[in-house]
Amino acid sequence: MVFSSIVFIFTFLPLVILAYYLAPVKLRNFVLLLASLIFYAWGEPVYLFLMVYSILFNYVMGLDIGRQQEKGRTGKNSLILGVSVNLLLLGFFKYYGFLAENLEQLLSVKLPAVSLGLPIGLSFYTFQSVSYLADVYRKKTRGQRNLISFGLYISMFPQLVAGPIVQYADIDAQLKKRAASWERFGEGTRYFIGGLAKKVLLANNLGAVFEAVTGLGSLSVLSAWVGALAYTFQIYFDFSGYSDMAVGLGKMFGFEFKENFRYPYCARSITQFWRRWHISLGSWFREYVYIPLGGNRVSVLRHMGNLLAVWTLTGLWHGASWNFVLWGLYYGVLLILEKYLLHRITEKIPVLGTVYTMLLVVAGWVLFFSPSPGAAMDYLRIMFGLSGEMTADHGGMYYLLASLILFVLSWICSTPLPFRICDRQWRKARVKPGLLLFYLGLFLASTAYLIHDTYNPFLYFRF
Amino acid sequence: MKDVMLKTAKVFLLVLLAVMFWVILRGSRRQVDFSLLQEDVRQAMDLSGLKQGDAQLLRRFYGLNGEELEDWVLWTAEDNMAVEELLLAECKSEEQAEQVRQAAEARVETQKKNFEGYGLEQVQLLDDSVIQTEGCYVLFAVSAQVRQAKAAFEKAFVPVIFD
Repeated sequence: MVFSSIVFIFTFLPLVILAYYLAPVKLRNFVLLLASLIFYAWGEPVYLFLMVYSILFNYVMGLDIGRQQEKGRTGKNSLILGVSVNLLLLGFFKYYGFLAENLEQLLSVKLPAVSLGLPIGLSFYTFQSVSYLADVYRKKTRGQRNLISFGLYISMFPQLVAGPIVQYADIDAQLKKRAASWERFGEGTRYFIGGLAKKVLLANNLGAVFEAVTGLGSLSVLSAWVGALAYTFQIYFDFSGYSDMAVGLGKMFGFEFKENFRYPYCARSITQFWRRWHISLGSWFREYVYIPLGGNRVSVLRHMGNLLAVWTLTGLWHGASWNFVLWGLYYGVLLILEKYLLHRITEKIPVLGTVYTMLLVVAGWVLFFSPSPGAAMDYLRIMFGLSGEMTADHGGMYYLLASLILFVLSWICSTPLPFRICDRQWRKARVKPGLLLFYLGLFLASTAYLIHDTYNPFLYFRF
Repeated sequence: MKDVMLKTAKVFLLVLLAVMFWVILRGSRRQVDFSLLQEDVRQAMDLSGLKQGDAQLLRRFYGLNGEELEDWVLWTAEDNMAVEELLLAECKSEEQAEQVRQAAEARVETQKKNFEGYGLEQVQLLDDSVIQTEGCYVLFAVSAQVRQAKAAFEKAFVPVIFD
């Protein structure tokens, strides 16, 4: 089930809210856990087993680490076992095909063919599990003794499918006690509707433009740029919209999740971009990979190695394909260049800095959306006029003019401006009929679009 | 007592994990009910404009003897100008499945030669066609819904532990 679906908005969510608030406070975690397991099993119940296994295994391992430490040991062996099993599950279900394909080519061996779909949200809840075990090991938190609370942390439906990746230490206290109020519920609803509108009204329409352009028989420089720009905005509104919905749903149930996006397309450097894009993933890698590797408190060469390792893993996290590895390395190299050569000089130049960042980011998305590195290079060659294609064609002009308003709207919504206006209005008065009407309008438009149009892809589902 | 319980739980969960991997790796070559598989794939595709083919057609198009296969079903386009086609075969061995796969590849090449130069849409469909092998089972589909057909075919082979 996805948030941007009629069945979720008009059946599942109202029933869960009702059950949650009617239940005694002590039972609320159980209600949410049950709802989360139903949400996960909806439509694709085959991997519920894996989710339940993950909950039980990490619950036991967390207690085991705690028990070892009570006895004066470090618990390191239990941590290694726990992390290994989590990575084994992720590796097997997400990377087996990729690894087998490459090993077969490299070593001329025949490995068992296993055709498994990627369990939804596996990358997200595996990282949460690792975060839990590491936090218990480092004594940032105690092992959770309540299986219901722990199960809820792993499976909580608002952030199960597409994050944000919640680190255990950040939510431990909220699992025990959280404050719910009408004010917070209202703010959650506002976040949810805003995210829904980003996803349904912007991302879906941009996705249709991207599909149409890349479906053209041949591309010109112009049409290649229109396609790449459409994807650039689509992936942002798709993912940040989903994250906003997750944050909003969390608020409705009294949780506070950290923001996952902070206007990344306004960044003036690649370093800044990655501090604003998928913040929870960046924080996870910094906390559990980069810093344990030594971070920047090592020699320059080692630091560069650390950055490349982290960014290769970040790329691989996004998918089992060489494209994603290259995409990660691309950012690793750019970040090293900014750190050691450019000294992030672009951050001091307002417009040029953003233009420089966006050019590199758009080129990065080409690597991301192309089916193979070769196809990405072909596309980039067309974009930069290196393949001898026409500068502009009828298809490119048509899609540019037809999507001009959508692009302008997308650009405005990538900046803080409209959100600051809404936030100011929200805080200004207790009664806010104008704002309420605006959000009601957004909600109705999104719903109408969902009913009318069946094109509702979700890009981050496959991660 | 606490230690014994934790140790038992750990061992049980690790054994369960080992069993799960064993079943998946072993189960990847398991048998599926061919009639169910056929039903799933057919439902995923639009078969209007197609008719069921007989053993004679299978021999003519693919050079395959239907009696030598465990089971099979063939759908071909009624219109001579259409290239939509579906072949599902359950073979007696993986070697035989490989022969069927090669026969399907040859069929694609033949059809492409037939339509090259004037049937752009048909050639595109042939380029996008799917030939998928899972153990002793082969799917060959030429259709606008090849992705759905492939997904339905693959789904039928999800290991039994998850059914």
